Amino acid sequence: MRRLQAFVDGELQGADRIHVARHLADCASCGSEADLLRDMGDTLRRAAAVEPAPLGLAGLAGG
Amino acid sequence: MFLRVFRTLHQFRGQSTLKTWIYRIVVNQASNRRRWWRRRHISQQVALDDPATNIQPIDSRIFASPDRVLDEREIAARVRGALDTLPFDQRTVIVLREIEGLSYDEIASSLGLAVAREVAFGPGPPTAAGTTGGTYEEPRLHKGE
Repeated sequence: MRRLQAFVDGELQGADRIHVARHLADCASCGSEADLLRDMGDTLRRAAAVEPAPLGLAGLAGG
Repeated sequence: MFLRVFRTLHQFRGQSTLKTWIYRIVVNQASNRRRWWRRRHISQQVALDDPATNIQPIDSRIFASPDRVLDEREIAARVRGALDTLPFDQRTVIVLREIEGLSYDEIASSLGLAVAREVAFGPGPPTAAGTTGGTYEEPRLHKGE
């Protein structure tokens, strides 16, 4: 599971990444688990929707 | 917070990236603020199963359907409730990863920790000889294995 989370997070490199990607191509169970992890991340980001910046300050943080 | 960063900028030694150094200041400030808040508002804390009356509304311009807005608010309330059950450090890691998009190394640096490679990534893949020092076992990706 930790490797799957690291894969979904884009933290696996090289052979590790290829190995997990190959496994996911053949394993529906792990594929569903990976989708669930992605959905949880999406849900967290939506839940963290922030208030828009005051009019005069909009755009300052984005560089 | 920007003022705090500006005032302490001369202390930056270049031992990490400026980005993670700033995050570290933010995390420390958040931790201090949390302790301050808990000391002063302990009696005003709301139980997790109370109606989510203090949840900030999600910008309605993003979601056209009122049903969708309601669903998103309920989900947001549940997510925040779940996050609130976590210790501060764990919650910080999740926020830095999922919301701020920091890498594992950046998070570790921001928190003054080291990434435990084996813990974070599991055992490595097989080498040409089929093993990595005898510790690798075939993919331990499934739950409960």
